[in-house]
Amino acid sequence: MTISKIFKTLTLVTLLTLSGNALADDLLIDIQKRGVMKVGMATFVPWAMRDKDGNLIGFEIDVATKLAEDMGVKVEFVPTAWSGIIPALIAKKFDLIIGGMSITPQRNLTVNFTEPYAHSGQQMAASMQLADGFDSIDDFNKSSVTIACRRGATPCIAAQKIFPKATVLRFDDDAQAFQEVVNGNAHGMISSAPKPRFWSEAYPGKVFLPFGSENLTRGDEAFALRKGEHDALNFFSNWITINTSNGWLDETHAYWFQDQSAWKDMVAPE
Amino acid sequence: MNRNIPPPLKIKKRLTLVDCLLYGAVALLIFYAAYRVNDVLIYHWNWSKVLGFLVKFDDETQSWASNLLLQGLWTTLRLALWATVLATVFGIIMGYWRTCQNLTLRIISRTYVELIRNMPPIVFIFIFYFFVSSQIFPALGIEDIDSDGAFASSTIFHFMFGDPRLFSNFLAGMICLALFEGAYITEIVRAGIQTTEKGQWEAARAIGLSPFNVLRDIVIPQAVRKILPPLAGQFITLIKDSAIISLISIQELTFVATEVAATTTRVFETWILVGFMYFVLCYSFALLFAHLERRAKRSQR
Amino acid sequence: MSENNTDTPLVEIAGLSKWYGDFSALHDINLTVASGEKVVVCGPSGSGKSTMIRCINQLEEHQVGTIMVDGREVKPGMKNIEEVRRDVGMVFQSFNLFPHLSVIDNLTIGPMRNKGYSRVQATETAMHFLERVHIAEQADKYPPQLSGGQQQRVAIARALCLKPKIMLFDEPTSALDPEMIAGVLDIMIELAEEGMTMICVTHEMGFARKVADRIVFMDEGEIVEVADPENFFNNPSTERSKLFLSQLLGH
Repeated sequence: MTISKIFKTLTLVTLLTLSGNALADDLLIDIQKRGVMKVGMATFVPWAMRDKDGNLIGFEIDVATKLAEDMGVKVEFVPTAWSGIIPALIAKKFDLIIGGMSITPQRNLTVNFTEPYAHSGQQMAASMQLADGFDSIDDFNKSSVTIACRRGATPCIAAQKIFPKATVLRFDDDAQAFQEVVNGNAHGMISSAPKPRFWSEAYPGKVFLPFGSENLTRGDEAFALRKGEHDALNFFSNWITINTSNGWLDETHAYWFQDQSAWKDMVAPE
Repeated sequence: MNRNIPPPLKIKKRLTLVDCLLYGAVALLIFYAAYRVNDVLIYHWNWSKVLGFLVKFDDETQSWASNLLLQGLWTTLRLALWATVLATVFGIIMGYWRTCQNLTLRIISRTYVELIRNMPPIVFIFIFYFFVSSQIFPALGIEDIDSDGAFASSTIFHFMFGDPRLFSNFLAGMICLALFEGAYITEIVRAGIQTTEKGQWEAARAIGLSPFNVLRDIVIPQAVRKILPPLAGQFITLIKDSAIISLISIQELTFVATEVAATTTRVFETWILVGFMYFVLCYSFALLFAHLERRAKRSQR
Repeated sequence: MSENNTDTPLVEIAGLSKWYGDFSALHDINLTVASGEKVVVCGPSGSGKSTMIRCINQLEEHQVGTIMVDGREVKPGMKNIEEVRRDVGMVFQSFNLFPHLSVIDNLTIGPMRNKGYSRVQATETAMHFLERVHIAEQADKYPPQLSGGQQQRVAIARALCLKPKIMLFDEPTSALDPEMIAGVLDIMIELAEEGMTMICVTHEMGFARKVADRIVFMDEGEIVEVADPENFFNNPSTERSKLFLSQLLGH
């Protein structure tokens, strides 16, 4: 909690120091002049991950690549630690974040968001050992119940909001949160779909989806840009609208999120 | 008298019963711990997935090439080497300032050391990366390094600095580490200078050498010989400290490990392997330095 | 050797007092040393003998009084103290050779840096003095490889390379094994016989008798007695001198 507070303060201060910058709103021009669009993202299955040759693959990679193509420029990915990705954007380490970032009012105070380009929700995976038979919100909303989540991100916010009485355990990444459930130390864990589903498929006797394939929340994920880049915001939002209407975004999303069969082999040999 | 006749042979040490019991007890402890962990930890071990990220078989060139993890290792090594060089330069300058007559220089260097030594590395790195490098680097034109230009795309550049497109980040990480470790090297240098016997200073001044020459010809050469061992130790520390740079997304070994762990979800295998890689790296250098030190001592006789 | 105006004393110390914090190390020292004179300074430990001669080349700084070296005043914090030091050779009790330089380099570094001599010139001078102290064959060795007596002889040669007007010796044989003391003293006697001005702090009374023009006896930071060797050893005029001599010689 404190680290994200530090970041928020850091970014606000950076923002204020840089707000006098007269070069805002030139992002599109800069990208075109450079001929390269720099995209910040973080490794997050199946949004972005490494295939067995070490190359980046995933939903975001496809989106960013097509976006750059349509703009007539090359794309360059800047893998960044998630916890520092907004400060890095503000510090101009890259042009925009295409990272499955959920729109939240808090974040919106420091960055601008485009139209949503995907709607993933949060899902829960539960431990058979501890939570067998649980299938409603009330079952989990008790003080004796422990829920694990990845800190500083929407999963934990959702956990607290939906299950205020439960004890929330925060971890640095999803794998750790999930391990708690598998080990029988937490009743359930919340993470962005489709990860919980993938995990429950990997550990069939130990983990299940208490709410079926329904998501607990519906999220809106969008590109994030620096404040003041209005022309770019307009361009990217419209690109999203177009590619939603023509179905490309949905198609690509389904390819990566529906199940892992299409791309599982690319990630690494079993 | 011939002083080179060796003494009578020593009796070789033998394993006693106590030794055996101790070894047995330790082995038992380890096995018990492993057994308990296995019991409690429900986890499907899969090493091949993770080992696949060490080296890959490139169909195009029909040969083995390094994959992400090894590449991360090279980046860590490059970071450590360059940062140590830079940190040594800072350290020597600041170390000298710590001991010289000029009050201002002493204050500046003391402030530098105390600031850094009393701050956790993470905090320093964030401050430096987000504030300093984002302001200074564009001003110096480093962001616009032409990654397709002749120099930048040459193999020499790649060998020394890694991917030219990531150069400005690499530079930020390197300077960050160097500034941070430089504070510790400053203290090593200071100790080296101050433990030079007073008599050396006096003799040097007595033969009329100017203060500058006293330092340059008499004190610093002796101090350098003294600081080499702790400096070597600092290099190894730097390799380990470089893991923190992953927080600012430099593609060194720890950062790459987080990507591999996230992608394959094989958290334990990834980190055990990476821990092993760091160990091999650090221990190899430790052995190398110990060997060099022994050689240096022998040649002084 | 040096054609000095015998009117101007080489070293003139007047009213010298020095404190370490509140402790009075030297009190009202007055001493004049003429060119070509050999002065031996003796006294019990803590008497301030070393402190006094170290004030002459400002390795110690004094608070009160004046020190003149060859007509030039020597003051704490003065600029160009190096120029004065190049005229004053000093030999230390613990030799203080530079261990990372060879013997010949120990000798050439001063002249090369101070007077801009070329390596060739400096080496020539250095070899000359190494021969003077009978140690030329060790020129390429390093100080840690030499015995104490050898190191001290090198130290003397190093000081001589500056062609100083006066040589200061601070207990030069006190750290040597007995069998090496003679070797070093012999060289100092040779130097004395050639006319070098010397101020020597030592316990070697045999040497003092042979070489000294004057003996300066110090106790508790003050000069107690100044006399020529004959008078000092046979007819000490103060109680403290008598006490000292009886302790020193009456084993």
